[in-house]
Amino acid sequence: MTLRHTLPRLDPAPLKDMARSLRFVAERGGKTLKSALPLDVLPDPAARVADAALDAVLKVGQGAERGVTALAHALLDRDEAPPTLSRPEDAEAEARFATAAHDGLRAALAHLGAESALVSEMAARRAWQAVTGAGSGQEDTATAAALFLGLIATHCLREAIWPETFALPAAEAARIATFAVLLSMLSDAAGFRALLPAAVDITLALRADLAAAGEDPALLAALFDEFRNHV
Amino acid sequence: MSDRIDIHLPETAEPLRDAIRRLRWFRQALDRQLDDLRAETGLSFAVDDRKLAQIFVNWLREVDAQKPKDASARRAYFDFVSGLMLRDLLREMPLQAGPLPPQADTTQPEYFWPEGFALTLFCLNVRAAVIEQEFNAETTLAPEFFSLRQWWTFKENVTQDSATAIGFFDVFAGNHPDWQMPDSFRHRLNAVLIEQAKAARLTE
Repeated sequence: MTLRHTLPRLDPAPLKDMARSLRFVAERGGKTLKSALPLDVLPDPAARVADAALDAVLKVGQGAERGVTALAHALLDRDEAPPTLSRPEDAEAEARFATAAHDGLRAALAHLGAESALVSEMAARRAWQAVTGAGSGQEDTATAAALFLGLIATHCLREAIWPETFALPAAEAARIATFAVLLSMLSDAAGFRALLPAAVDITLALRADLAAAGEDPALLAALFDEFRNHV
Repeated sequence: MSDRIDIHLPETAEPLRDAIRRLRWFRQALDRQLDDLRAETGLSFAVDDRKLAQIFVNWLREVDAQKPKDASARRAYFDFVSGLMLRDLLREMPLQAGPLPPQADTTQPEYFWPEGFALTLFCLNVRAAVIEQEFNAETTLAPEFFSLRQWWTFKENVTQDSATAIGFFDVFAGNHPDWQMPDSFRHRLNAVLIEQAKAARLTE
């Protein structure tokens, strides 16, 4: 007689968040060191010693980055479409939304000019749980507005590295990227990735409206409704 | 360039009147127009995508704000919003032309004002495609479109008042321009009704 064990299904999201955090720290550490060390003003041989030391540190960072990147990819990097926001009860909707929110936010931030970004899939899950746990049946634009506020409140975007010349305040850039991701999902859940650049540019054009909407779910839902068919 | 408008727009499963109100398709359509113009004339252009998105959003809002309730005004409204798009594009100018090709003849409109020419042709093409699809009607370019004198006046006037772009667009499309309040659709409709009443009196 063969014993069959039912093993619990591994939830990769916390591991992926951890791997991504490591990669981000390695990336950021290397960049910070490079910009902070005054190599160009150090006299020789101090400059050569410092240069060699920096090189060694960067190599460690790159090695760590390669390792965690491979780990992050190995941990179920699926390219699935997010759920339709009008049907939050769909199979695996929470996980699909969280993965799509992570990928979408990173892509939106990159389109805005971010050099690197750390986005938490677990935070996206918490936002989804809070919104859909309150019950379904509302308009999908109202769901999008609630998710927008939830993703901001859970700090789904943990950190981003911006070029020195970047003009937008970081908090505003996070709101613009988050709005753009949800606008793309509302416009066409299956093809939302291809719509992201246009959604980001539309949201940038709506910068004043988005700021005026603040935390008001009704105003945010109205803005989603006005532009969902124009991405 | 012939007086028949050569329509070469990206494919879409939607009616063109809907596709043109999606930024992604709008950008693709403009890119294709610029590619065609590059192939035909040797002109090159850089597009400011962010500026284009801002123009697009402002245009959408004005299209909704002035939309007539009367279905019989649809055709006139398509003409109007095409001119409105040209006004907004010329006012904010999302294009920058590269250096003219060596053989460029600046007495030709496309070399005299490359950015203005490209955007005007784009708006005329989109209008022609929508009208063909919605009303099964062909459109042609008016002779004024090929006149350097007309383009010289067009550029001069638009620099001072971008709303005049709508009037020039009407001239190029062979429509009667409204120079008084070119960016008001209600005023345009009233002007058309007055003209029709005058014509009716003359035939009585």
